[in-house]
Formats: sequence, C-alpha cells, structure tokens
Amino acid sequence: MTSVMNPLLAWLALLSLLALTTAGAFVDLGSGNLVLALTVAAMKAGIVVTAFMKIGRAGSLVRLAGVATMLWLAILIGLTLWVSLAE
Amino acid sequence: MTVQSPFDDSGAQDAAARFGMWVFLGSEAMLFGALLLVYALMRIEHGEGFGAASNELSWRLGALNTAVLLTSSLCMALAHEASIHTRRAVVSRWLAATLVLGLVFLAIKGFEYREEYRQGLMPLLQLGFAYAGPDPRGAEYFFSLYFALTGLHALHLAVGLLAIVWLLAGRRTMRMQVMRNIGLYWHFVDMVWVFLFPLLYLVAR
Repeated sequence: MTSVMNPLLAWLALLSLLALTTAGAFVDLGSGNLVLALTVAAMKAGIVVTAFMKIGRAGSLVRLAGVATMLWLAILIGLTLWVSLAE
Repeated sequence: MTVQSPFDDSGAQDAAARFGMWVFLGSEAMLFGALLLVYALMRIEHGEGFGAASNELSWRLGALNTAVLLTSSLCMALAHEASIHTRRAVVSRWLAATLVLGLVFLAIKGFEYREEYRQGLMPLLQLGFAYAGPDPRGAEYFFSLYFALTGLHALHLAVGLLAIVWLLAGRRTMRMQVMRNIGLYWHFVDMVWVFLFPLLYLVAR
C-alpha cells in the first residue's frame, strides 16, 4: 500500500505547489514574485527527483551525476548572471 | 533479464544502465539550462516587454497543462510500482493513462500555438510578428524563446510518447531496466515544464 501512497502524496503536494505558484503570481511582491516562482519550482523538482525518480535509492554514483549536473548548471548560470548584472 | 556484452552479471548491467540514463539526463539539463540562461539575460534587458508579452499567454491553459503533466508523472510512477509488484496488465493500464495525458498536453499546446498564430505572435519562419504592446523588441525575444523552449519540450515529450508506445507494443515481458529508464526520462521532461510554466506564463500577472 505504501508503494502507492508515496506517489499519491507526492502528486498532491505537487498540485498544491502549482496552486501556490499560480496564486502567488497575482500578488504584487516586486522582485519577490520571481523568487517565489523559482523557489516553488525548485521544490517541485525536488519532489519529482525524490518521490518519482527515487534518487535516494539509486546509489551514490547516480547521486554524484545529479550533484554534478546541478554544479555545472550553477557555474553556467551563476557566473554568467554575475558578470551580466555587474556591468 | 538477458545480460549483454560487456557485462558479466545483471547487477553490473543494471547499474550501468541507470548511471548512463542519469548522465544523459544531466546533459539534457545543460541543454535546457543554456536556453534558460539566454532567457534570463534577455529578461534582464527587456523586463517590461517580457511581462507584457507573457500576459498574452493564457495562464489558465498553462496551469491546466502543468496539472496534466504532473498527473502523467504520477501514472508513470504507478506503472513503475506495478512493474515491481504485480502483473503486466496493471502496468499497461498506467502506461496507457500516461500516454493519454501526454497526448492531452500536446493537444492543449497545439491549441495555444494556433491561437498565437492567429494573433500574429509567431516571430519565426516569416510568419509575421504583429505586436502592439510596449517594448515590441523585447516581446519578440520573449516569443522566440517561448517557441524555442516549449517546442523543444514538446519534442522531448513526443519522444517519450513514442517510447511508451514501444513499451506497450512489445510482446515480451517488459524489461524492468528499460521501463525504469523511460520513466526517468518522462519525469525529467515533466520537471523541465515545472520551470517553464512560471517563467513563461506568470512573468507579470
């Protein structure tokens, strides 16, 4: 039963976060809107990776691939935006 | 499970298949990440145009499609669970549900594209871009990236649908490894959309 419950709970959490991100977009928070949208999107991605893709049970080699992906993306986007915003 | 060269046992083959899939998904994340970086740079430059252009999209259809895709991921996860625990019939049912939801997503996206074509908001293939709002240059950048990102995403989804059809059509007992890797791919495509939805539909509501 738990094998069905976990995906179901993850799905309910994802739909709740979808409602939150949509409703949040209609409240004027200034630059906080973008922060909220990206934070909620990252939370949803986290749920998909852990509950649906089960990265926790996939072994250390897979987790390393996941961490490496995030690191490369952080370097690519972080450094470019840093230089761009500093100009 | 048949063990193929160069593997000696199914455990090593399984670990390699899984690792290979995650590395492939990592390269896919870099592809979408690079496009999103272009988006970020353009949005910094053309904030007003991006906001106005985003409001031309239907947030209702975008939110609906997000819900459709998240539900398809649930069905895929349930198919995977069933493949561990039960018979093939249950797996096929959940895979078919995933397939239908994927098709619904593409149908809604197609409907949106048709509306944008009618409104002259397709700055590609000489289709004409007629936009009357503020910062038309920024709006044009926005719609170029909108079509690039959603088009690339739809292409990925279509490939996922073909993979599911292939799984369903196979007469042999489904191989767990293949099934799991197609599931991982499907969830990844879902995850990409989770970022595209607020960045494209909810810029300045």
